[in-house]
Amino acid sequence: MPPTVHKEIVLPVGRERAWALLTEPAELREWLADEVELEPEPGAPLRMAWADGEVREGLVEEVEEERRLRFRWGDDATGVPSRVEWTIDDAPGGTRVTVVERPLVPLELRGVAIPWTPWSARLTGLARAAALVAA
Amino acid sequence: MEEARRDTGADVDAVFAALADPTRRAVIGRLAQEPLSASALAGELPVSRQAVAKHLAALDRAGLVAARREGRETRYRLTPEPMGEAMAWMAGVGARWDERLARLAARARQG
Repeated sequence: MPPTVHKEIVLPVGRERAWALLTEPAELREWLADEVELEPEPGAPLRMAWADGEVREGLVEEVEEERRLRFRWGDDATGVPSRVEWTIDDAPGGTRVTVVERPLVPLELRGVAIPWTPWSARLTGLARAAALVAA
Repeated sequence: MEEARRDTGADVDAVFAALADPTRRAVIGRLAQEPLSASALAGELPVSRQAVAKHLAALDRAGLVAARREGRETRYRLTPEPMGEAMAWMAGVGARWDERLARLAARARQG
């Protein structure tokens, strides 16, 4: 069993709007990163940056309009490169967005700094999201 | 006396595969208390010495145990770092998506 992060959420919007939220830089800047360069085209480079200085660069790998976007990304300095897949499905009350992320490389035994913001902030986010994420 | 060491990376898939087996979890639990030989482990667990050796080999591939030769005996000790790293990756990445998806939901509700 590979280490996998799997999350789902149902958004009260149609597929077209969900696709826009996931692929238009202006929308992505509202929820994913402070700076976003992304084009939903296979092979297109992507770049995301956050106010705390974190920068992630990568590549769009697969695009299925209003259905699926797959990309790889990695932190420029210390992060573990990984592959992310977003899938859009019809669901009661709207559209289900599924996120799957897996590391692309074996994690090192020692000395890997895994970039994350402070746990306190994370846990707040977790508690907030718990009410929203479909079982 | 020589110590088996791994200075490269352990495959994180191997860590999870290793942890998926109940016998290997029992071996890990026992080695967490003290280093033991395969024979000693087989004496305490309801499996053969050969089966213990196979499980120890899988744990070694995952970087979760290290073998140390002492005279005629090889003893295994727990090296739990890879387990921590894999779990840490999942916890960290998972928590970030929880935050992002909460913001995404808020954005979606704005219309």
